[in-house]
Amino acid sequence: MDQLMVGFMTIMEPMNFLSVFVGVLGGMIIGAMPGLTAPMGVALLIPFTYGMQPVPAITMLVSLYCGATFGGSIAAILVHAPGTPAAAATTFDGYPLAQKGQAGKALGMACISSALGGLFSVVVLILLAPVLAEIAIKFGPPEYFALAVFGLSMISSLGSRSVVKNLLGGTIGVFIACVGMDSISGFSRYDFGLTHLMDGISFIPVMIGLFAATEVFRQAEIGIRKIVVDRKISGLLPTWKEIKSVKTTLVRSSLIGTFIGILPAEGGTVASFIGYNEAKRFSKTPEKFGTGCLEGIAGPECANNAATGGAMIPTMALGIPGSGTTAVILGALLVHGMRPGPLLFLQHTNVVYAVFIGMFLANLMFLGLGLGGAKIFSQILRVPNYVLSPIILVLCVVGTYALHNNMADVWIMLVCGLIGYKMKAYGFAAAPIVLGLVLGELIEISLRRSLIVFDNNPFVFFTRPWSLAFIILTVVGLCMPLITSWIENRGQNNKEK
Amino acid sequence: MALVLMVIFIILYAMSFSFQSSGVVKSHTTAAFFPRVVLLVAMFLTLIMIIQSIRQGPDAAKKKMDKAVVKRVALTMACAAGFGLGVVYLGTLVSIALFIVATMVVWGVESKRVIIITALLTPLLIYLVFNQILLVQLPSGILI
Repeated sequence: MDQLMVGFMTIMEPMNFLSVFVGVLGGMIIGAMPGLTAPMGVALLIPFTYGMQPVPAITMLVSLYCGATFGGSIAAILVHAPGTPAAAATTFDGYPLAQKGQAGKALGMACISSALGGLFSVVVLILLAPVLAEIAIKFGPPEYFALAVFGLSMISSLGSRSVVKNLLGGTIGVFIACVGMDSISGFSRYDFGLTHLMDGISFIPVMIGLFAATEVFRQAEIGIRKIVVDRKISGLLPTWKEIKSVKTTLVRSSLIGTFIGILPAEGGTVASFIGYNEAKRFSKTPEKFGTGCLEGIAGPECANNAATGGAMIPTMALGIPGSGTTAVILGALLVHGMRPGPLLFLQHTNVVYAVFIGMFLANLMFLGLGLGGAKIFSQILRVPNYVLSPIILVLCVVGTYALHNNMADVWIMLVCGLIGYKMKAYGFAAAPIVLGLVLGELIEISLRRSLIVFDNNPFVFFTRPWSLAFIILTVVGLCMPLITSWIENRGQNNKEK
Repeated sequence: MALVLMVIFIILYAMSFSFQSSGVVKSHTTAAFFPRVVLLVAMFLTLIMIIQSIRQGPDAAKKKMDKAVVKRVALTMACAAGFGLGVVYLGTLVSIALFIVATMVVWGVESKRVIIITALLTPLLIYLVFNQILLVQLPSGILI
């Protein structure tokens, strides 16, 4: 409790409070623009935080994460194009309601649901993360290896539809982490005679390249695009009665979103679709879904923002990202000299609790901004992509250079942007590669340390309870897409019969 | 794509034999141990991709990009590379303005007013935010 009070006092300092505000505002703007995603926004914001203290820097990034997750619903409701992938399910009922002339009500419901889901998940984060960190502090290298492999196995459902491509993307990420000096033997690997590569490849240029530069090249493919916002936003906020009518959906989606968020690598997109499906399944009027029903907005919006706090739990307590965006936040923590994991709670207690309170405040802040400024945010959609894309690439170059004041990072970023663009064309997603990159070092170090400590015995991973549990979960996680597709095929065959 | 990846992974695997080693007997202590494990996993997954693509046949659904689109994407990439080089030789602010003009022209933006305003305002804002407010050093070129 004392730590929470200290965190609260820290966040109330003008600079930190301002960071939360800037983060939320920036997040809502980025989220509102189709094509700009939360991980891209966080990756682009990192360079702005280089000169900041850790508390305002990290709270600004997590606030952007919360703001962008909600901001995605603005475009989803007004123009039927989700601002972020996590808002895709919101289009199903948000847009039809806007077509009925009730865009204000749709945005109001999205905002309230998002804020409630987000606030719930932050409470769970505050309660659960320290407990998890206390358990994890007892983990040895075998447990960490099994846990990191479990985190990596969960990427099978991230971004792209192909399980194999996701896993291969993650493996490529792990391989990129191998480049440079081997921390155990001290010998260099895959440096191609370049001194810069001997230090390894930094996360930030790869993340900015894969998330932001790739998007610029993709926008070049689309060409000039202007979004026409013809929907007038009336001030019709949902009534108290309407909010009460979705309360069960809100509770259910908060739980779903937080749980999905906690699962390593599972983010808001998965949570929002499950939130929508479950809202429909338990609804008394499922036939109204898809026609502009409030439950159809509350379900996914509450779930995707609940996933933000949930995703921060494994990120902060275990050092295993809970989503693509938290993988970028994990990279930012490292840039600011903090290694996520159980020791973070001992070494940087003040920062951890300030970030938690900052995240809580961010959810309250976008509630106010969203309800009061929906009209203004809808105008952001009018900014054409031919103005935005070159500016994004400029930020990519300047931000990457500022990391080490080195042009080599800029070239790495541009090459990653190019590779990311080509890989996207072949159905690979960026998030698995970034997750693999972030987890790569942990996997290697813990595997090799386990083998060194336990005299080259590979069975050590099966004899320790926690590591065995993670290995079983890994196997289940890897088999899950196969089982799901088998069940779906069986169901379809039965229907055909 | 899968075949290209497979070739790359095989080359990288072969390269791991050239890594220096301290001569310790146990394989897991050498620098090559982990990359080899990762590359074997990558090769296995790529093999699955190859088998999948053989079973599915040629990808008929894959749309071919219009020549104009390919040209626009390639020129945008060239502009980005030119921007990187420009930063080294001309300095950041001049390169930003030139990059924005070049990209907008490549994309077919017709309004000269939009091009000029964006090209002038962006470097100014970048300078103010990064150099003056955040005190982050901008890359300087040979000329500026």
